[in-house]
Amino acid sequence: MKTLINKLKKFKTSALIGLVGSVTVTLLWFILFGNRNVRTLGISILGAAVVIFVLKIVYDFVIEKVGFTKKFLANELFILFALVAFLATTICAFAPVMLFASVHDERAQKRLSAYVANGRVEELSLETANGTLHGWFLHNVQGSAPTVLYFGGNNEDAAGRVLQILENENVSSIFNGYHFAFIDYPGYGNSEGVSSEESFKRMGLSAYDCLMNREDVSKITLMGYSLGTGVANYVAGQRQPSGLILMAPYADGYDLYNSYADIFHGPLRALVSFKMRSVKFAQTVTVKPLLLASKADEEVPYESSVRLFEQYEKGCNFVTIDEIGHNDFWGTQEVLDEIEKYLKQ
Amino acid sequence: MKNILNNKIYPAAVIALLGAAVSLLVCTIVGARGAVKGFLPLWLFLFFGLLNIVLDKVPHTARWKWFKPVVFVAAALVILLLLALFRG
Repeated sequence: MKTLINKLKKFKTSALIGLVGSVTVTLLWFILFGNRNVRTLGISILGAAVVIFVLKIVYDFVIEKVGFTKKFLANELFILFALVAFLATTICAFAPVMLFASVHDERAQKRLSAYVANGRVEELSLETANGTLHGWFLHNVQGSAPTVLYFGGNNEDAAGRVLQILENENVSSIFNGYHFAFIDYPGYGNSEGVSSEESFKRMGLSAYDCLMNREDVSKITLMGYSLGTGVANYVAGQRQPSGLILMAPYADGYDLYNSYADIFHGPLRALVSFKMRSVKFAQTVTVKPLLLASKADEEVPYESSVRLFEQYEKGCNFVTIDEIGHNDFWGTQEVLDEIEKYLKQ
Repeated sequence: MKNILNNKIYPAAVIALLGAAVSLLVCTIVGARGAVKGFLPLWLFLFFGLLNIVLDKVPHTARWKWFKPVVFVAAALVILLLLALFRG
């Protein structure tokens, strides 16, 4: 019996040391080697652990005078509170890590630089109050022309997309008669700044205003894909573009969070930090947009796109593309044909 | 002092550590690629726990008080170095 108790004590000590080692190394991994959002996540979890630790000690001193049964219940309540606190902290801090998967395609950038010499492509640099934004401008026509200002999805950067359009004739032909511009979000590509809903909105307006001031841009059609549809919709509601194209659009951030884990209802909606209320922005859009959605989209629920299309005052061209996945829009001929048709109107 | 340590600090530390460990595990399962990085907090828990059991059997641990902490710190540094090297 004594041996068993000693073995259990040693097991308990090893388990505690295992826990300390695991938490310490994982937190250091997040904080030292993660990007800004992962670092924030690590620091948030560390902060929550320190707060819970201190609160528990204070809590124990306070309930010390209480009788046994109540003390037991009080401890159970504290454990429940600690669980909720960790869950809330993790969700709030983890969401930006999942939503803003910043990309920097250096190979595409090097290859694009080769096209700069012949004037086909121009590297853009926008000075803003929150840092310099970088992007690319594809000169598709000589002189002044309408321009598509594109807001990409998560995991997309300007160099990669512009290079794809440049080198794929099937894709570049849909933009005949249009220039094409794509500026990286803050924290993406070479753009400075921190990725957030507010910084994306500011970036969208800055990009629009900067392009409208160019002599070779006569008017702007906004285009968005996935995450970028919220930004495109926001800018369309604040400015007067000549058109709006949205691929795999969502109604608001709540729908995006619920597509990962369908728990953000009622009081848990307060944990959603990326709200991007596209349904609200749509109400002030002054053009008739083209919305492209797929029932087989595994990331943006089709119903979310439907909820959005019902909000446009001027009506909306809503096109359902059959059976394509979230990442297949740019590679689907039907999508490219619809975009080309809309741009030619 | 031992009373405060056992009755107040130890339970608070366990709750804080467990909460942090579960949060970190959820984050790595959802966000990291592969089984190694995805379940890293779990592998680390097993590794450090087993390392403690092994070190308890080694005579150097009883001979030198600093032996165990140095081994743990060295192991942690090696793991962090490997994580830095295989960052992708």
